[in-house]
Parts: sequence; structure tokens; C-alpha cells
Amino acid sequence: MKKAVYVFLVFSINSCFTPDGYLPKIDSETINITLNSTEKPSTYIKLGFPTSTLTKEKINWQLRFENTADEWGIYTNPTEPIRIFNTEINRYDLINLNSIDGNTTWGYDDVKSNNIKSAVGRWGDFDFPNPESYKDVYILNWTQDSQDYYYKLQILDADINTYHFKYGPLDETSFQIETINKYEFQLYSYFSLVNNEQVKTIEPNINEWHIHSSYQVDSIIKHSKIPYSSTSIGSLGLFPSFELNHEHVEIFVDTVTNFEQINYVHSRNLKFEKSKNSIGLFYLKDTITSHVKSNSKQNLILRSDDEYYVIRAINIIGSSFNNHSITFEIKKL
Amino acid sequence: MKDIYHCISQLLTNPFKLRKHCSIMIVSACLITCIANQTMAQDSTSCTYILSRDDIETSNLQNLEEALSILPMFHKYIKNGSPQISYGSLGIDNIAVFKDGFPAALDQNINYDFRSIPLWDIDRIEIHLTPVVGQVKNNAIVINLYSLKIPEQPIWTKLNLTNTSSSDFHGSFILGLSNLTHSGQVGISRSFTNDLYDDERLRSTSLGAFERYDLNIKYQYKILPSVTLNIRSDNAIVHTQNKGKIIPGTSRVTDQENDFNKHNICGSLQLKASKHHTLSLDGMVHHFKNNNTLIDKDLNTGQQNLSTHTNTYPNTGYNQGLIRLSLKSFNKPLDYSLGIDLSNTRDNTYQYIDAISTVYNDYIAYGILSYRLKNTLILHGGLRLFHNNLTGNFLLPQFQIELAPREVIQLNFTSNTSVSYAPFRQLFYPTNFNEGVRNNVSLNPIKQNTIHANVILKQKNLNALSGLIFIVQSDIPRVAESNTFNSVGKSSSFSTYASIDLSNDIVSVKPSAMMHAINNTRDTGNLTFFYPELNLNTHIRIPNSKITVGLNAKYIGKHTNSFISNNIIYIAEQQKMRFLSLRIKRSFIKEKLKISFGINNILQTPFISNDIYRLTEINRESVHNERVISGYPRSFTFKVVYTNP
Repeated sequence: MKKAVYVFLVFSINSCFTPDGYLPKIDSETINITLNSTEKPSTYIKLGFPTSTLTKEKINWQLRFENTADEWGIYTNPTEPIRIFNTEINRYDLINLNSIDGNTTWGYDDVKSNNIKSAVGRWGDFDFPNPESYKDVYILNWTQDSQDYYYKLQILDADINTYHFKYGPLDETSFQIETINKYEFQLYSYFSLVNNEQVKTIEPNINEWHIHSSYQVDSIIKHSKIPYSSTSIGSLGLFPSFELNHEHVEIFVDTVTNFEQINYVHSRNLKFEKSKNSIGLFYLKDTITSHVKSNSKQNLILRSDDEYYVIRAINIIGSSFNNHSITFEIKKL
Repeated sequence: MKDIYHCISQLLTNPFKLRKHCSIMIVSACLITCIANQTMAQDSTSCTYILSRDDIETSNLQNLEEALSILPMFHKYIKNGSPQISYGSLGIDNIAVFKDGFPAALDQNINYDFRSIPLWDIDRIEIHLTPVVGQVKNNAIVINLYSLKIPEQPIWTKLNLTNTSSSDFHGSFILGLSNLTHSGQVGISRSFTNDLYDDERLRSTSLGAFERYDLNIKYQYKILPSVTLNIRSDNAIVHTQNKGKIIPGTSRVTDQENDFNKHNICGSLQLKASKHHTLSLDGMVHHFKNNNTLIDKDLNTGQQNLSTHTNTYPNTGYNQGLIRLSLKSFNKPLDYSLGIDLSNTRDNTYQYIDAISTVYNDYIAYGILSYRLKNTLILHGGLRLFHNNLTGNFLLPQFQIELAPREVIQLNFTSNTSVSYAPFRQLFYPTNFNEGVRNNVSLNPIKQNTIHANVILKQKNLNALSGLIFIVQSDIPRVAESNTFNSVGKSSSFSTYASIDLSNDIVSVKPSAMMHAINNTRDTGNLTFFYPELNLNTHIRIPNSKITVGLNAKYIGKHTNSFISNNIIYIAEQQKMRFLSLRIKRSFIKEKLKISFGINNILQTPFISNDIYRLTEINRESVHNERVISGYPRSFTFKVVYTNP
């Protein structure tokens, strides 16, 4: 009987749940991107295993239209200082160069921590499936290749997934009426007023990028510690920016925890927020030399479709801010 | 007696919050009365198939879920880790399962884990087609498990060890004590079944390893020669680990763990009121909890945390209380059976949803008459008046004719109406538990109208059985246009079967063949699909050698059925399944020690394809190909059984 009990015990212990195996630590990944404000101002980053990047050359465009369902924002090209004046007049034909004078109040797109306040603003009543436009005529002004451009723009009533607008040079009576259909696979639709065409090659499809590393025009006073290059408008600078794919990405900027110590358990309880743009993240201005340097204490923790990543900049090299390369360290959590 | 009635009423309203003195009264009531081992009135003609102890051991069946793969008439596969068990259009939730006369899996509308019902203390499993019974409300098909009887020995032990080449282990130890007046038996068991992988190189399991611990207790007290008390308690803890895949680019995984705990206690009382009358009082309390957890693990640091994800199966748990009172009369030529059956089923995880108590009560009053006209005819007829507090009253008739019950050839015809409930989640649970569909607390029970006819040939060493059974289900919950469950669905199943039992002292051969026809969407389309099934259970004792050889085989042909999702009809086509197990057993030390060696699932392919098609107006178009699990792969089994004395 004793032997039987022993056999029972030996067999019983032999068959058990297999313990979890050990996996070596997965090395973090480094990627290097180069930004040039005049030639290649934009790089799209797709996080993953491995991370991939897509650099885009500079293309002429002025306006972009939100494609997200029920969103109707109209924004300007962030790499150019484009200013907008809302005449609050509905008659397109009455707006001309005489409509602006020294007292004209111009506005710019204003980048907030979790949103971008459009200079066009709320152009209609969006409480309907087909928004009803207030039909205000806007004047747009920007400088390109030392040439001043003045355009007028009137948003017509929108269809359920279509923008209609009327535009033309401010000093001409001729105009164009354009239709832009919301394209659900991209965040924005882009339009060049100068070239009279929709530009479709700027943004990759929505599932093919998480971060867009580029430039953003903003007030110099707002970002005193961040390096910038000057623009045609003295009060505005061209800052490095991180545009985020806000349809798929939520972020948390951790300046307390070391990059090495950030892991999944640490990250999953953080309060992530949707953000469209983050100016100057990872960039720091050397107070003595005023050179650009990386801020490695800033860790961007990013959640996308239940995957977590942490990113930091480990090195920035470049003769000028307009042309530099930045090395990121990326760890999937 | 007044106190007992008070306690019964309290048990029905809230069986798990009995006052202390009531608990004592109920137990006392159990103690002062006696029970018969099998309380369900079941006639032999309704028993169509038996899985004997030898069959259970030959196929190395460790729990009822495994047995349902082998049991004739049933079709089982595993999809996304969940077993899908059915006979024709009847899901296992519409089929009654009893152990020694008591519900083994609570009420049958509940997703019960059949792995928690062990077979190490089971003598045989019987399938009854349309039995004429009073107490069971869903008696179109009844599975009965009968446990091993307590031997009348002063002390008795049985050790049962099984090890397989898949590193499975199943061990049980039973200790029985008896002084002829008091008999008791305690059985403990540990059963471990290893993981099943689709690809051994990957960490993720297709079917997680699971471990079960059992404690089963039986007690019998023969108060008087004609008065016996039986109490039984079955307890099981089942733990399952489903390993997740390694998340690319990390050392992290998310594992899913499941804990199923069940506890039940039942007693049955039988009082010989007169020479021809027996009064019985039965009671049962059954409780289970089924908890699912997701665990995040870092395989580099060993860190483990409960996951914050919510995309796992919801936790469930139910209690059932049951009281029966019956009077049976055994007079010739007229027998009768009368009784009442009171049952309370309660959700113990979500006790109130939207201020509605998740509970229902059943009250069944029944009467069955059996009239014997010499040896030429037996007529059984009965009515059940059935009240459910959610849906109202139902009258369920049943009728059976046995022609020439004692002759070589016997003919039987049975017709009955039975019901089974819609799943608990469809009755009570919110939309996030029902894939966005709203519950309906006033869903009708699913009605099952059954016609069954068979012919039995009885010879000394040869029994043959052939018959047909037709079941129509109505009031099946379907999703209406208002996105709410409604009782509008219909389905039907038809089977013809033939089986032979050729047995003598040396050989026992039991082949059977059947053809099934299923129409799961009878309310919307005339889509009937056929599939064949073959079974063979054979045991040969080699004379003068103490060696027995056993063979169990089952074949199910290509299985097609239809189902409705989002008001679209789909067709699922599944590959054939084959089960074949062989065993050789030898006895030692005057039959005390039995050692056997077996090969299980010889022809089995663990994964089979399940192709899903969408039915269009003119054709069908393929929408999805998936792999489902038909069973475990081939394994070798070594088994030792030691019985003393």
C-alpha cells in the first residue's frame, strides 16, 4: 500500500503546469531622421517591430481639411506663417484689397497642448449632418519665395462628407469653386490655393504612421526655451514639432521616470491624452551657446491600439536648426 | 413537519441564506428518511446507448466533456477555447444531465463546465431518448451518469493512476468503510491534462492545460431493512491556463486563466408507505462559480499583474436549490407516479441587473400512469403542469406505447413535449454580454416536441435496436429587428439509428450506425443537412490469460449546419472526425491489481477545418475559414488500478 502511495505521489508531481520560460531583454531600437525646413521638412514615423520612417519632400499647399467624421476643422500649412482675417461679410464679390487696412486683425492657427485652434475658426453650424456655413469670406495672406500672396476664401454649405468652398486671388474677380471629399483613410485633405489643386501625396494612410516629425510656426514668446528659426513675421518662429495621429495615438510625457525604468506595468495606469501636436518636444536650447541639444529627460509614452511605446531623443546633430538630424531611442513596452 | 414545510419554502425563495435552524431541519429531514439510489423513473426502452466502465477506461475518458466526444449521437468540437456540444439542433444546454437521479450541471440553460464532472467514480453513462419521466422538464434527451455502488466491505480502497505520453496525469483514491448499517465513501482525485498547441514552437496554446481536484463523498445509512439514507456531495476545482502569444518586440505575454469551482450536496428520501406505495422526498443544493482572469506577464523580469483589459469572457456563477416530493405506486395492471418538483435558480455573480432580480423559480406538478394489458401492451401517459415565475404556465403531455414488452421483438412509440430555458444571458444580461443585443426577460422557454419510435430484438446473447427520433424545437431566441431577443426561432433534428449488442462471457461487440438530419434555421429557410455516424465498442476477454482487449471507435462524417447571425444565414461545414482507442489490460493478484496499456485517438487529427459560408439568394459565398479542435492528438496511456480487498 505504501508503495502505491509513493507511486501516486511521484506521478502526481510529475504532471504539472509548465513554468513560464525566461526571455532575454529586448533591446530598444534607435532611428535617425533628418529634417530640412526648405527641402524635406516632414518625416512620418510608424512605430512597430521594427519602426519605419517615411520622409517627404516639401510640397506647396496652404489649407488642410479634417477628414474625421463629424469634424469640420480647416487649418493652414504649419510650416508657413499663413495669416487669416475673417471679414464677417457674406458677399464674396465685395471683398477686395480695400477690405484690409492697418487695423485688420489677423489670426494664426494656435497650437494648444491638446488641440490646434484654427484661425478659420467655427465657420458654420455643425449641429446638422450637412453643416450650414455662415458664408463669411476670409482673407488669407502669406509670403512665399519673397512674394506676398493675398487670397479670399468662402466656405459654402458642406455635404455630409464633402467640403465646398469658393476661392480666388483677392485682387481678382475671377474665382474657383472646389469640392473636397472627406477621405476616411487619411486625417486631412490638403489643398494648394496657388496651384488650384488638391494635393494627395502628402500624408500616408492613417494606419501607416503614428508620429509626424516636422515644423510648426508659432509665437516666439510662447516657447522661450525651445530653439527656432525666424520667419517672415518677426513675432513668429519655426519650431520643431511632433504631430500625432490623434485617431490612433494617445500620449503621456514623462519627465520623472528614467527611460530604462519605464515598462508596461508603469505605463498602463498613466492618464493618456489625445494630442494633435507637441511643439519642441525633445529639443532644448543651450543657454550659453544657443545651440540645439536633445532633452533626453523627456520621455514620450505613447499608446496606440493597445500597444505601448516609449520614445526619447538621444542626440541632435546639425549645423543649423533648419537642417539637422535627430536620433530617437524607441522601446516597445 | 410544519417546520420542514417552512424550511422548504425558505429554501425555494433563497436556498443559500437559510436560517440556521432551517439548515438543521433540512439535514435532519434528510437523515430521518431514506432514498433509493436512482430516483428518476426511467424505463429500459428509453435507454438507447450505454458507455460502460470498460468503455470509459478504454477511451481514457476523465470527465464528461471528454465522454461527450465518444458518446453516440453527440457532436463535439472546441472553438476559441469553448466546447460546442450538441445533438442535432439541440445544444448541450437543452439536454438534461443527471448523476444518480440529480441534475449534474444545474439547470440546463447555464454554461456549465463539463470538465468538472469526473468519471473516476462513474460506473456507466446512459443516453435516454424521450424517457417518460415526471420531474425532468427537458426530457427530449437525458444523459444519466450512475456512480459506483459502495461495496459492503468493512474497509475498501481503490487506487487509480493513469499517465499518458502527453504528460497527463489522472489519479484518484477512494476509501470506503461499512458496517452494513453505516456505509461511507470518500474519493479524492487530481487530474491534469496538458496543453494542446497548434504549433509547438509557439508559446500560445490552442487549448490550455487544466488541473482538477475533486472531493466526492457518499454516505449511506440503513436505518431499517427497508429504509436507507443516502447523501452525496460532489466538489471540484478546475483551473485552466491558456497561454498567450509573445507580443512582438517585447518580452510580454497576456495569459488567460479560468477557475471553475462547484459544490453540490444532495439527499434523497424514500419511505415505503405501504406494500405498493413509495413516498420520496429529494433535495439538492448546487453552487458554481466560473471566473476568468487575464494576467499580464513579463517573461524577462518575471513580473505578473492582473490585466486591465476587459476583453475576456465575463465571470458567471449560479446556485440551484431543488426539492421533490413524489409518490409511486406499483400495482398491476396500473402503476402511477405523482409528484411535485420545486426548483430555484439564481445568479450569484450579478444578483440584480437593472433592478431586476436574476432568478427564476420552477414549479412542476406531474402525474404519470402506466397500464399493462397482459403481456401484449403497456401504455404510459402523463401530464406535467409546469409553472415558471418569469413566463407562466405550460402543460406538457407525454405518451408511450410498448407493444409486446416481453416478446423477442418489442415495438415502442413515444411522443412528448418538453421545455428548456433560453440562456441566462439572453434573459437578464446587458447588451455588452450579448454582442450588442438587448436581453428579454419574458423569453418563452424553448419547446421541444419529440416523436420517437423503435423496435427492439431481444435474444439471449443478442440485442438489436433500431429506431428513429424526430425533434422539433420552437420559440428559440432570435435577434429581432428591434435588436432584442425574441422567441421566434425553429429548428428540427431527425435521426435514424440501428445498433447491435452481441455479448457473451468472452466477447462484447456493440456496433451502431446512424444518420442525422439537422435543420437549425427551420423558421427562415428549408436547409436540412445530413451526416452519418458510426460507433463500435468492443471488449474481448482472452480465455485463461487474464487479459482483456478493448476497442472504442467513433466516426462522424462531414458535418454541416446553418446558423443565423445579424439576420444573415450562414452555413458551417466541418471536416469528418475519427476517434479510435485500443487498450490491453491484464489482472494480477486475484484481480486486485489491473494494469493496462492503451493508445488513444489513433486516427485523430486534433485540428479540423470549419468553413463558414454566407448564404445568398442564388448561391453561397465563402466568408471565413477557421480551424477548430476535434480532440487531443494520439497518446499512449498507462493505467494502474489497485483495489483492496
